[in-house]
Amino acid sequence: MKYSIKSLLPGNIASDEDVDLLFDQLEVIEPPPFLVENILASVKRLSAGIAVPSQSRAIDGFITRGDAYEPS
Amino acid sequence: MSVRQVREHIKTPTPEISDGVLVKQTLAGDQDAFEILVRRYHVPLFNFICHCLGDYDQACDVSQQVFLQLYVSMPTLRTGEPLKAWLFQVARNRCLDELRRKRAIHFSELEAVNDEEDLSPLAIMPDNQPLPDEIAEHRDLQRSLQQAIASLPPKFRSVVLLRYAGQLSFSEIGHTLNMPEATAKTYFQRARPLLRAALASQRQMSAVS
Repeated sequence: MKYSIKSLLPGNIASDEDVDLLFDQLEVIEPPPFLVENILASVKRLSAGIAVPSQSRAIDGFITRGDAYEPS
Repeated sequence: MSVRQVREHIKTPTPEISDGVLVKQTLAGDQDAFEILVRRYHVPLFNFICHCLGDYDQACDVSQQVFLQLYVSMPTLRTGEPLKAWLFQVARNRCLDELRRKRAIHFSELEAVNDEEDLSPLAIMPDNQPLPDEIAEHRDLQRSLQQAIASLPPKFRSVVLLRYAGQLSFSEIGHTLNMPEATAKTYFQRARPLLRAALASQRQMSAVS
């Protein structure tokens, strides 16, 4: 059963299953297509740059949104 | 795409290589193994982070930080610990840090904080399209669900977000939040009537106004 906003009227969401079905419709927010590439580029940069990884340096070195697509 | 569709999509991958094997391969220098791990978890992780922070751009940064932390922590990861729960634990901690920092900045700058905006990722997603009735209704439904989750006490909210946005099992939620599986299940069961009440209250209020 697909719930609409109208089904949220009091009394319509009666059982636990109703609640689950309703919240199963919670929209999946798609990550941007460049996210995976950015993560991998950051890791590549990190593994090339340091021999012994340290967390602070790792986080400092991460690529911000869309950097992978910017001309160097 | 609905959560159910994503679940089905995630549940039907190519022949599954275990996380533990992929970690070992990454440590041996195989970057492809790390990529598989990133592709395996980035969507549910991003969703969880985005719902927690209510900020799409910040969710990108935090997701990236989580995977970088995974990469640098791999040599010291305990092999018996489930990786998925570890990732969500790190993500949750980073979200809490960001929310604390955000709050501190707001207070220090004496900015007016609009809680509704902070808690609704849908409100901050780019939306340049015209809104026909169906889309408007869909957005209303999403907003109602978001607001119902946001109204929960924090300990219930984490469990509900991990379950609905992160698609974790109760065992994984237990590992993530350092609580027994049964407690995670109990919190979830207690949260359901609260969600139901929050939704009912929203509809009553909108019917009155």
